[in-house]
Amino acid sequence: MASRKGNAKTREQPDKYSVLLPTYNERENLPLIVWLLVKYFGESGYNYEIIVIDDGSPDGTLQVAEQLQKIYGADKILLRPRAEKLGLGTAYIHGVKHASGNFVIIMDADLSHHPKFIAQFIEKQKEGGYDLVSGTRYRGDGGVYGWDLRRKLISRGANFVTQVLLRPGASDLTGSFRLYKKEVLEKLVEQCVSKGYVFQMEMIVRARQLGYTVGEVPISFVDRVYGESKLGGNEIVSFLKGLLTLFATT
Amino acid sequence: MTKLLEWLLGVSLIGVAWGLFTFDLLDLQLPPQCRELAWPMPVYLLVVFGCYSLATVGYRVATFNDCENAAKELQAQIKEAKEDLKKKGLKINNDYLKQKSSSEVPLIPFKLPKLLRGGQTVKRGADLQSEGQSSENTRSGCELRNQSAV
Repeated sequence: MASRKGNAKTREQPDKYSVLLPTYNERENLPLIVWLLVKYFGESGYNYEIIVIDDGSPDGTLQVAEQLQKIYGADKILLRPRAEKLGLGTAYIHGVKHASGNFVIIMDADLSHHPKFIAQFIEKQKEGGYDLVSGTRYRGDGGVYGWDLRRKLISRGANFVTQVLLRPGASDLTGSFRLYKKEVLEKLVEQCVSKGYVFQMEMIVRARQLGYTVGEVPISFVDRVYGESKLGGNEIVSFLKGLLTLFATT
Repeated sequence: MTKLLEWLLGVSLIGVAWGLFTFDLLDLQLPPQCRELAWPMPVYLLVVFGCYSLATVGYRVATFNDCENAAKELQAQIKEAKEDLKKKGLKINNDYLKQKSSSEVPLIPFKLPKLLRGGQTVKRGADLQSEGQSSENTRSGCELRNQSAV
């Protein structure tokens, strides 16, 4: 793209940020995350929309989303539900199809990711023209609340192994709080085949492969579910399997 | 080239170099000290790498920032959000939006990590608010465990 001087933006569309919120049984958290998003986007002045992708939650998440739509407007809250739980990758594909922004933000709907960082993501992206900006828990003043020693050890250990094997150029690969240029997300999601944690890792690894630039912003991660859903042996094994697959194929 | 292939290539190169020095394959008449040094090198390198790994992971775990301020801030904002949403007409459960006293379990599913086998204790959400406000020293709300943490 040739550089332009002066008021280039008056000739182009201003930036718009589409937030994808895949939800499953988030009836109680959804209003809160939407409220926070509206608050912080309102304060920042950026143009945005929130796309709620509910996978047929039995707890009535969709009904809550409909109420939120009435409160905040159908131009700001878009509902694109699906009939059943179909996985994160397809949720992103589905969401991006309906996104009218030129940037897409992915995040968790369970309040572990705080919308106040989105403005920092946006600034970082503008600063470096990055294709994607990733929130990191492992650098700067990033960190976690609610993890015991065991969990921290597993997290850092897994991250270390990943860094050694994949040398990805990003400090937090399993994080899912990111800002993507829309076309970059579209391109990456169609290429990625893994599930779960490894899916997020694969997105960054493939981004590097394709020559996309990655910026980082330290974030705080407030984990409120760890106590009940511990990281068990099964998840560790499937993580390692996925890591080795990426190692051998990228 | 995949990472696996890069690694195999790297390991092969090192292996060839080691073989050359240890077994004097190029017949360079190397002094015996050279051969004695080269012979255990692979094991030394593995041990050094092992120590480096342990030290690095240990350091990173020790300096993993804790975000108590972020958790406190979130709790406060959740309260604020519920009041505001109630005003705007959001209806969920009857008791969802009611304010409970601070000594009770927090309204939303704030699942606290179980008190552990050898980790740090974590304070209940309600207790955090009654503590004196510690100064917000980072944008993220995480206290740096090491001033030079990167």
